[in-house]
Amino acid sequence: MAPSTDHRHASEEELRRLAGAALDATLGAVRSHLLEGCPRCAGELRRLLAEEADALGRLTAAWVLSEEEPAPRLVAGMTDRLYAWSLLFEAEERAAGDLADELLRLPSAERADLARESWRYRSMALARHLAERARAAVFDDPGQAVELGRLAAAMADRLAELGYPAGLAHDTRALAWGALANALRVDSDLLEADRAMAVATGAVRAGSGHPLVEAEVLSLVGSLRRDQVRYDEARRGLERAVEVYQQHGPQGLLGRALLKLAQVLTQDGESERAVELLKEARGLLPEEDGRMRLLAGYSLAVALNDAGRASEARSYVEELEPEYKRFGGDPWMAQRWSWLAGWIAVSHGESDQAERLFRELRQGCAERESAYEYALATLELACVLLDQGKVDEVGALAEEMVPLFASRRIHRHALAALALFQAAAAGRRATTELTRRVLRYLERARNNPHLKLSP
Amino acid sequence: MDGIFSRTDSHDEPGTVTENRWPPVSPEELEALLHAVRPRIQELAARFGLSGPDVARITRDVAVMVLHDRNPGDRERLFVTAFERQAERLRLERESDDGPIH
Repeated sequence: MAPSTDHRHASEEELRRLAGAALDATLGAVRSHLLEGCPRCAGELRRLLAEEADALGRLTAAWVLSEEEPAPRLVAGMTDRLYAWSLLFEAEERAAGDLADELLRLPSAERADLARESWRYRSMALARHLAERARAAVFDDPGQAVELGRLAAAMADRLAELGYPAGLAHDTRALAWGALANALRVDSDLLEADRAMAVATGAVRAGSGHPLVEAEVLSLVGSLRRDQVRYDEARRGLERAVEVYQQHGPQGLLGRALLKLAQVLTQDGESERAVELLKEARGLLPEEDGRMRLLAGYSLAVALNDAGRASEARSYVEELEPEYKRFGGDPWMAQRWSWLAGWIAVSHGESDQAERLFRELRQGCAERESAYEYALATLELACVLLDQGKVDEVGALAEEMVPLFASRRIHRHALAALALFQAAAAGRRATTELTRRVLRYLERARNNPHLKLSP
Repeated sequence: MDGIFSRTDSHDEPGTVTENRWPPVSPEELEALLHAVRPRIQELAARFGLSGPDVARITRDVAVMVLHDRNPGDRERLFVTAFERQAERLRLERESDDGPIH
C-alpha cells in the first residue's frame, strides 16, 4: 500500500482524541486514513501517544493495584489508549514496505542520512521491515544485507528517544542488530559481527521480555558461534532457543532452530544425534515452508552419511526426489544435491561415480568463478584420486589451482592451507590424510578469516 | 456514550476497522485478557517487591508489546512471562547496584 498523500491529513485535535480513545465511533475516517499508511499522521500520533504515556501508566497502576475489581471506566480508559498504540503499529506496518522501497531507490550515500534525519522514516515497523529484508538478502547478496542491516540498526537506535515504549524499542534494536550481525557473519566479517551481536544481546536484556525475540537472537548467536568454531557456545545458544520455542513458539520456528542445532552437531561430529533432531525438525516444518523442509531433508541425508549409514542416506535421497523437483530448482540447492551425491558415492566406494561428480562440480564452480567452492571441489576430487593411487592426476590438479591464489574471495589463512596442499600435490607427496585435513579446515573456515589450519 | 459501547460500534463500522482487519483482538478479548492476567501481575508485583511506578511502567510496556505481537499464540502466557522477566531483571539490576540481598 502506498503511503497516502491523497486523503486529507488528520488534524492534531483529531489525533489527540484518537490517542485517548482509539475506537471512538466518530473517528472512523481518521482511523481509515491512518490504516492507509500515512507516515505523517502516524508520526504525529506517535508523538501524542508518547505525551500520553504517563496517563496510560497511571491508569495501568490503578488497574493493577486496586484491591477491588477495577471500575469499567478505568478498564475502558486503559484499553482505549492501548488500542491507540496498536493502531499506530498497524499504520506503520502498512506503510513500511513502500517506505523501504522508496528509501532503497535512493543513492546509497543519501540513504543513511535521510533514514536518520527525515521524519518520514521514523518508524519502528520500518526498522523491523529492513531487518527482515536484511535477513532474507543474506542468501543472495550478503553485501546488500549488511547495508540493509546497518540502516535498520541506525533507525532502531533512535526509537526510544522518539517515544516508543522502551521494551519494544529495545526488542527492535535486538532484531535489527541481530540481522546486521548475521549479515556481517555471512559476509565473513566476524569481528564486526561479534560487536554487532553484543549490541543485539544487550538489547534483548533491556527489552520487553518477549521470549521469541530472545529466541530469535539466540538462534543468530548460534550461527555466529558455529562460524567462529565455538561449537559449545553455538550449541548452548541454540539449545536455549529450542527450549524457548518449545514453550512459546510456532512449530515452524522450533523446526528451524532444531535444524540449525543439528547442523552444528553434524559439523562437530555428532551425526547420530543430529539425525534424530533433523527427523523431528522435518516433522515440525510446515508444508508451505517447502524449501526449508527440503534443506532439513538434505541435512538429514548428510548426517546419515556422516554417521556411516550411507545406504540409508541414499534411499532417503531417492525418497526426497519429488520434493527436490518441486522446491530445489535454484542453483544453490542443485549444487548441494550434487555434493551430497558425491559424498554418498565416496561412502559406497564408487570411485568412478564420485570422481565424475566432483569433476562436474569443479567445472561448474570454475564457470561461476566461485573460488572457495572450486577449492573444496578440488580437494574432494583429490581425496577420491588419492584413494585410487592416482598421484599424477593429483599433481595435475595442483597446477590447475594456480589461479586460485589470485582470488580475493579466499582469505589468507585458507590460501596458506591450500598452498600447503598444492606444494605436496605438485611434489607427488600429497596424502589422503593431509588432503582431508585441509578440506575439513576449509569447510570450517569458510566465513572465518581468522581461523588458521591447526598444525 | 460510554467507552465500551463506542468501541463496539467502531469495531463494527463498515468499510473501516473491520475490513482492514484492525484491531488484532476485539475489545471483549482484550478485556478478558486483562481480567485474566491481573491476579498474576499482582502476585508477581508482590513477589518482586515492585513499587507502584515500577508496576505501572512494566505493565504498560508489556501490554503494548502484547498488542503489537501478531503471533496467534497464548497472549495470557506471553503477558505473564514478559512481566516476570522484566520484574526479575529489575530485581537483578537493583541487587547489582546495592549488593546482593541476604
